[in-house]
Amino acid sequence: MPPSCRSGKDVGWQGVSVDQLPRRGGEPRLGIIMPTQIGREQLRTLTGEGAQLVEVLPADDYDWAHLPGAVNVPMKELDARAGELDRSRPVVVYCHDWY
Amino acid sequence: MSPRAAWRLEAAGFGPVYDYMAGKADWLAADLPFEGTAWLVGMFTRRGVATVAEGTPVAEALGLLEAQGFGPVLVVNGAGVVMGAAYRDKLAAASREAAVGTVMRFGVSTVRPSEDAAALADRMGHRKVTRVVVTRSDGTLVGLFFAEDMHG
Repeated sequence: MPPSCRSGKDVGWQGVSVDQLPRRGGEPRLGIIMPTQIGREQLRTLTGEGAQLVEVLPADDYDWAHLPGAVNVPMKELDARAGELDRSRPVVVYCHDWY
Repeated sequence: MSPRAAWRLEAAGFGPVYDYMAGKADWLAADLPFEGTAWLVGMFTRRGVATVAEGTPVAEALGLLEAQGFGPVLVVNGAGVVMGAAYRDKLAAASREAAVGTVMRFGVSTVRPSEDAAALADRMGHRKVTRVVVTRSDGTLVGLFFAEDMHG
């Protein structure tokens, strides 16, 4: 299992090891709820229900190929451009692969 | 990268936030539609190619080959997974009543529809390969990619 995306030792942005945290639906600790990992079929269901799809790769990667309907908000610009997203709709993010 | 983005958006008050961790590579390898400038193998793959089961009689497979005009005939199981390929010379040399599975080639090389088409055609040229079987990441058949189809 690739360490950068799946390892239980992965460290969240707030510096908290994710293996110290509950899964969604569990008892929240530290006031943090983990984002939910989904597969291809769940993605199709969610976007069919109105979720917004966000590719966080650089613009040239997005221009090369992206999922239908996805918008591009590169990771480095996420904080500055998060306001472009609709807070009333679920968000699905993706990059190239597990790594 | 996407886990960090998902966490960041959750923390910024978005919700719910989902992370499609297998990402674009998984989507494209599944032969699903995409937008962009890429020229991928799936765009040039011949679809609806002749398929048979391992138990199909050789005579039937030969008939499909003749109707299609190019080969090989691909041998798939009930789930659509490519199990092998049957070539004209082997089929023609076999009893017409024999099962295709007795003359098919196992271990056929495959590529994903998400590969760059020009790069694959270039590799095929160097190896003097004219066609290659295209399958999704789960092994199910997409079709046949002919390098010559890249040129119009």
